[in-house]
Amino acid sequence: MLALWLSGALSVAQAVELSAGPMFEDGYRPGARVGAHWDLQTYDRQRNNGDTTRHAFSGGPDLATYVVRGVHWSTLPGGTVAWRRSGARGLRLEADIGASLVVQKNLAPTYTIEDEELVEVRMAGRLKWAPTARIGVGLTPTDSRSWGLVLRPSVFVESRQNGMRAPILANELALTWSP
Amino acid sequence: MRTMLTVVLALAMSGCAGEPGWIDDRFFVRTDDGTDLYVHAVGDSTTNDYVLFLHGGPGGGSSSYELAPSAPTLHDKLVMVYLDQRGQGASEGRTRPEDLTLPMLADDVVLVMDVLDQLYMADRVGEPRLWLMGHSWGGLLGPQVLLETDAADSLAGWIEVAGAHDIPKLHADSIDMLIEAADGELEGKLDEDTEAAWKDIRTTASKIPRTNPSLEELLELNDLAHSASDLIEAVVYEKTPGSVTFDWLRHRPNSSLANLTTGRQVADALLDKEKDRSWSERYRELTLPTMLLWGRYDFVVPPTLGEDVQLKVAAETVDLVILEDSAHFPMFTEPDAYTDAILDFIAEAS
Repeated sequence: MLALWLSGALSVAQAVELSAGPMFEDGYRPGARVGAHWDLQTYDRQRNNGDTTRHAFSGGPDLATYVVRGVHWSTLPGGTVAWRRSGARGLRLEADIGASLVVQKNLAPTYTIEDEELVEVRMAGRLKWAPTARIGVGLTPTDSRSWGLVLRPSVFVESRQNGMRAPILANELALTWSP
Repeated sequence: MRTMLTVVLALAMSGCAGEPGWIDDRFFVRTDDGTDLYVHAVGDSTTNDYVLFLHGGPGGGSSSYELAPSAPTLHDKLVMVYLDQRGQGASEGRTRPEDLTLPMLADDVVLVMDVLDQLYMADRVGEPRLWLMGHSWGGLLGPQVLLETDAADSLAGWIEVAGAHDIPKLHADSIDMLIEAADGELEGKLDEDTEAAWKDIRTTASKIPRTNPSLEELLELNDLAHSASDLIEAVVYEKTPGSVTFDWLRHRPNSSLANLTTGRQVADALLDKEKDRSWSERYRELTLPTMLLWGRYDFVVPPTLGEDVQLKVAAETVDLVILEDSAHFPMFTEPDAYTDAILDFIAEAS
């Protein structure tokens, strides 16, 4: 089903935009995100001042990662669908929603007691999933340049503790490139 | 310039890590059901005193206590072991909030004690001592550990700071204390805003039932008590040194928004279950050296709770210390008196 959807999506995709940049969890913890988005459907809208804005419904995979120093390292493979508005003068507004798997590796040692002996659990970590939402504002690739720069505040709503959803805030500064 | 100085100080502070006996370990303790409990052990181990700290809340975490101006002094004199209780702070697991219970949290504490024993104390020269310390909600969890498990046999003493060991008494005494304080304040000369605030506190406190409160009424009174503490001029929060804040931010184990949202759910679930819990009479079974440390203006957990159990504890050493210029967070308002009281007690009870 997924393969069918993907092949269908790719067949109607019109353009691809790649993005990569640093991401800061909770505003300051280091991380990064890379992604690719294909335009699935676009339409141009004529504004009153004569400019044309392009609206695109796009989708694609991404990979985010961040480190909580000395505690854990999370890697989030996933994907989003987005609405993207690109102005004639290069102003980009966008909104994404999607989901990610959260592969969390404990960086702090993890101990347990087995048969009354202290044991360190090797490769300890957790697997979670996280619905994600992201908005973006910045510069879009235009006819005259193939790159853009977008600030993307994000929220990963991780299934973190005790079955509760824990929103993790992140800010990404993405360099985008449209070949 | 100030920022640079802060960075330099922070780097200088991290130099403690190389000193013999200095511990600065962050680790998880995994429970049988796969929950990872986050622990930070920090301080000088040469004195052989380890203090396992149970944070307040519930629903908070222990990392904010490391921001207290009292923390650096305590770390210089002993090892503070900060535990994030199940479902709180950086601890993670699968248990739903509605399944959380006080015995479950107490079992976690006992497991962490076992790990601490094997990690630090078992092979140590001399006689290492482990103390249990609880603040606020931690003062309700502590007695569960001390009175309902065998853990007391392995402990050197119990330090209770504004401990909520008797919720019904806490609730009734808090109402009485708020009304009495409001009456006293309103007799004096106040500015318009302060007078209105005390009148509002008095009116609201009078309307909350003294017995069998609902969770909402319990939480409303809690908010009111914090507001009243903020109106007391004698209670002044000391500024945390920039170097401590910088170091704390570098190592903070959890995210601010996650902490807020999950913390609220944990608090509601646990308080709803424990709102009738009273350990006061059971303190007669407590034979460990005990210190009860309160702020005079603690409307959240009134000092009458400490006074009430002082005479009940069966131990030879039972100290009650009331800090005159503090409310619910004496570690932030009178850090020197707070650390002196704890260190004096440990020296005395050792």
